[in-house]
Amino acid sequence: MTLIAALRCRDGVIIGSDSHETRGARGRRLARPIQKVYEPRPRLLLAWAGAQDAAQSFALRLARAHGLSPETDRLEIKARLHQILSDVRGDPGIEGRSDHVEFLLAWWSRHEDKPVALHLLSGGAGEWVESWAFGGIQLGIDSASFAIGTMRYIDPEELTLEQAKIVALKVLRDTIETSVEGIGGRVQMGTIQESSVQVIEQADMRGLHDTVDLWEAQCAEILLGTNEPPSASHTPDRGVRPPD
Amino acid sequence: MRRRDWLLLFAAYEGAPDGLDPIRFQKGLFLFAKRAQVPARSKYTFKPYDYGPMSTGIYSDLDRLVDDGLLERMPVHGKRWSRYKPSKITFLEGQRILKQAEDEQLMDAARELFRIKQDVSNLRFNELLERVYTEHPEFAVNSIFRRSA
Repeated sequence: MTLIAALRCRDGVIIGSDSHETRGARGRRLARPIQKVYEPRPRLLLAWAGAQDAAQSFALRLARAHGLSPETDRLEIKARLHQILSDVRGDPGIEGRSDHVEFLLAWWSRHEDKPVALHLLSGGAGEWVESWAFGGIQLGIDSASFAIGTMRYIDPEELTLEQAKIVALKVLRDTIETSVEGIGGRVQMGTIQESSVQVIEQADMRGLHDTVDLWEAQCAEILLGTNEPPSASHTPDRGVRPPD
Repeated sequence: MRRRDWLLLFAAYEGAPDGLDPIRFQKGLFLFAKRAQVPARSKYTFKPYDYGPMSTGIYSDLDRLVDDGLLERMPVHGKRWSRYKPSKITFLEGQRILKQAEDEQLMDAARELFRIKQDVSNLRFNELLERVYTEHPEFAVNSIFRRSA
């Protein structure tokens, strides 16, 4: 299982996930890194949770589907996505078709000129994402919801995409740190905005992590008055200095 | 001089014997890029992130300096980040780079970098951010947090 998340903000959508694929029985699970956020077709972002075989088959069929683009009406896109998922679950050749699988999909709707995100579940439900949405293992969803609860002063609709990346990253990594079984590894994220779709590279993720680190350090300074500056060290300083 | 040389000199300067966190490297080299009179190729390029300016080039150069044995990566208890700490080799390299700066008539820039190192090492995070935001508000446009002043 896994944790996937979507956050719709003022000018875009963030899609994120953990990066562990787990196999085996409860208590004896093995994990390996896997890509869960990607762009299966131009200008459409996807994150998956659940049975890998079914998820990959869905993504492949989505990539090959004809006439599906952000220019299409979103209700029509939703209907097409449901049909693709239904086809996957009806295909006897797919090993995990009977297992639970769910997706978060996002694109920039040209029709409405706004970012949209859809939470698609294998049971047939599909919910439009208004601010936050999560999928995957229930305990992970509960942890992520708790993490959001500590940031209620932040209104997602007011956030720019750059700001929303930080909030989404904090929620995801706080959730991963709770060590819920089946969730782990690095945070993966992708973004949708009017002009582009991006799966964020690890080099850029590092900058985002530093930003969250700084956010937390700043909070600690304000709340606890801690974190002396580096110059307060008692270690003998053997550094060099330029001549005056 | 290459931008990596300035980064290493920044680490070698006195002011933070236990090393600096990545944020202070970012902000320090940003202020250097803005203030020092050195060729463009000797500066990192920055984009405005949620906490002000950020350059991915600094991360990769810090990693290379660690791989080359010129800096030590020190885990920080209770934190996700590591500090980058100078060693004897860092100081020796720092002396060499200072000599090179002198040969290339870049001592004014070297002194500016030293002043920045002292500033960055003496400030708490909040003060450092205020300093950068005040001097370069154009790099605070994506900041998620309101300034305190």
